[in-house]
Amino acid sequence: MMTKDKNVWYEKLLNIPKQVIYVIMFFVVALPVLFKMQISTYVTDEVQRIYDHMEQLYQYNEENPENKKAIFIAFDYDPATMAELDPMAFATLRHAFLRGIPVIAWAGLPTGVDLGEQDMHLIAKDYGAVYGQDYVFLGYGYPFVQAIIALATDVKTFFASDKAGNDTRELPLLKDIYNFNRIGLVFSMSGTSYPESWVTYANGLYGKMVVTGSTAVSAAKYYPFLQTNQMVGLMGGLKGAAEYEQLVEKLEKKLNGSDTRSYLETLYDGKDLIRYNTAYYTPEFTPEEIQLSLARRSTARQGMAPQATAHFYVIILIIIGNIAYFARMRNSKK
Amino acid sequence: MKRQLPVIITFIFAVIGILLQISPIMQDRFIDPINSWIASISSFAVIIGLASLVRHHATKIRRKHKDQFFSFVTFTALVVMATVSIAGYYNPNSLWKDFADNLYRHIMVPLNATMFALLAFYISSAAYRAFRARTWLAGTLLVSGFIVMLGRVAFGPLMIFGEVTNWLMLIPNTAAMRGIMIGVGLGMVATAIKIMLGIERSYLGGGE
Amino acid sequence: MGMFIWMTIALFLTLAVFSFLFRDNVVYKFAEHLFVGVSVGYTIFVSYTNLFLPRVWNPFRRALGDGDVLLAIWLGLGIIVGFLYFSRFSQNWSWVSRYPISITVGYLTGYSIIPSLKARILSQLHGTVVDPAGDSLLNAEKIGTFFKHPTLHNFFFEAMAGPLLVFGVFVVIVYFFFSLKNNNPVVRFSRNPALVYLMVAFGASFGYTFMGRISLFIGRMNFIFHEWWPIFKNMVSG
Repeated sequence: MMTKDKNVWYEKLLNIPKQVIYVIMFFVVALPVLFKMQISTYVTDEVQRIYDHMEQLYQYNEENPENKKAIFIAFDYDPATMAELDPMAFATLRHAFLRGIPVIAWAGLPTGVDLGEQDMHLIAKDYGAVYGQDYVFLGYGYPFVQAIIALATDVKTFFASDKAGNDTRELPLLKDIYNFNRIGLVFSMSGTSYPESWVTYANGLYGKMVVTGSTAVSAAKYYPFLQTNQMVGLMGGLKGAAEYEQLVEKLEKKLNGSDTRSYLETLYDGKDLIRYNTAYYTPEFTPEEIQLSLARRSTARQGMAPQATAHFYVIILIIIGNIAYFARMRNSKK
Repeated sequence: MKRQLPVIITFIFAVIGILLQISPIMQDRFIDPINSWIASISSFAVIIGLASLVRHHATKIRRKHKDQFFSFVTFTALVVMATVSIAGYYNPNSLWKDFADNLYRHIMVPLNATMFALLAFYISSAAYRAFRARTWLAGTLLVSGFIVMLGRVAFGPLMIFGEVTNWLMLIPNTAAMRGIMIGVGLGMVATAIKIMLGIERSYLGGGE
Repeated sequence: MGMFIWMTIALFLTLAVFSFLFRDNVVYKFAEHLFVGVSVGYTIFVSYTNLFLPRVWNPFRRALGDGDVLLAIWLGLGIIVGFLYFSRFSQNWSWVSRYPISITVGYLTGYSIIPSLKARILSQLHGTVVDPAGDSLLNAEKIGTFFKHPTLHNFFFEAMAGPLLVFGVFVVIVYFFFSLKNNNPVVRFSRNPALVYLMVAFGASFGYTFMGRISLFIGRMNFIFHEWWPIFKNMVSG
């Protein structure tokens, strides 16, 4: 048997300490983030379909102002996967608020309840949406299947109170819209298998159109649902979020003008501020909040450049690893 | 009484579950009360789970092992988080609520998110050490992975990878995932029927 | 200023967790235990305010307030059955907890059979025969279209898409159901194509998984450089 010579080039390569790989990975990701590198991303059919369905819903609401339909968002994630799923939720909420589509939501995981609630208030604040009238956050949707079933009859029975403790029968939005009949699209944002349950029950039993915002890890397994239209759209990972973000930004610039900063600065000027309950958000922006709000509009797209560099890095790593491995194999055969 | 009755109850409620879908009368009259009733029962399961968890940490502190300081950190964080959040819930316009929001946003969120962000490093190191094209099938997996990695960040001249990725996801990936999904689906339905008929009883736990 | 302090705490905790990449250390251990504590504490809060109140207590109180005695008794009975879960803490009486378990498991099981069959099996098989528009997946017209406009796109996305999908589903199902040694010619023939389909799909999944893991790290870098740093810069420059 041959003894391993540690000084041979392939042995050196195969034994690179993991810390070296980590440090390079850190720089490969951190530098594009630091220098705000951006790459444009193409829009896939599965994301374009989400945008189109939302626009169709807006058209329907315009034609039927007395019988408006809402969207339902299930924040089925927690902080562990928020880097991928928050930008999707932001883009969806922006699209809804820009088009005046009511939003009803809950969180499917216990540790993500405040995340969903705070996300809703953050984006609602950007458009002056009023809690209880334009959007409602129901809280923790547990037990999951029973919560979906409750949406088929009257969600107020299941959610006697919302996350903030309000009696759901007192919320104006839920007086008109309280079940699937007036819900046009169901969004499930998740890194778990919850979207499959939404397809099984909301689509399978009640024929609802389901859209999934999924972590990249789970995205591949949802394509069979996409082909059968059991899911009408899919945002897969940061890439999917970046696509939707891009489409919504175009719409926002068309509707609110290209100077978003001054739009935010003057949003609440001359408005009747008494409508806004400060327990949800204060109807004014501090300079820091404006800065964060502007940054939040392009979180996913900002992430695509480091994503690309990291992908190149790991492809190179795998190729180097394989070359060294085969060199060792060939040498040992000799 | 200890084993037979729960099996009979399972069967009865499984039949109720099926009837609620196929009988319009059941659906109209009973779905809400039954659904809420079972939700209320299920809620206790979570409460029990939490009680066990808290008991576990309290025991660890009582036993005074060498990492006692860290158990104190856990226990103090637990008490502070729960108390402040509940106080914030009952006083929505108070400092309690602000404090609770900040504890969540600036302590729980970064900790949870960063724990999972560590995986980026582990996966790159693992890919370097373990991802080898030893056989032609492993090579297929590798090439497919490369194409998707390039395709999903494609721009400019790399757009060809974008097109190929779209095709890979829509055709071979859909076909393979569908095959798996149908297999898993059959398994799920079979297990559900076995539970309903009392053939599968492991959910009742061991013992008499 | 308040926001800056909180964000700096978040920054410190982020770096504390990352320090584990080099070696296990006291700072990481502190962060880890803090995480367990706040997570459990937070779940207690959610369980009380978002489970016990809206699912158990408020419906019962509402039924009493509405004068719906029958519903109140029904919900009260549910609470009593729910309390049976606590028998798990007793060694002699833990079997009593099987009653609430059997109710929830039975109901969920019964409720899941029809929709699971429909969504995961019937709709998927249907989708392998026809597309959502109702056209057959083995549509010869599409192959004809390719010969009229012979482009790569037409070949892969139109002419061959349906046949390759149908073939793929067939071989993968055959492979899974007969993966033990079997000399039937169909099973033998299916093995290699099925493995190719599976390897391509797993490769795609790996690509996506890598993308997902990197995104989580990018999220933290975004926090440091795009959220914390600008506010720190503003603070310093006044």
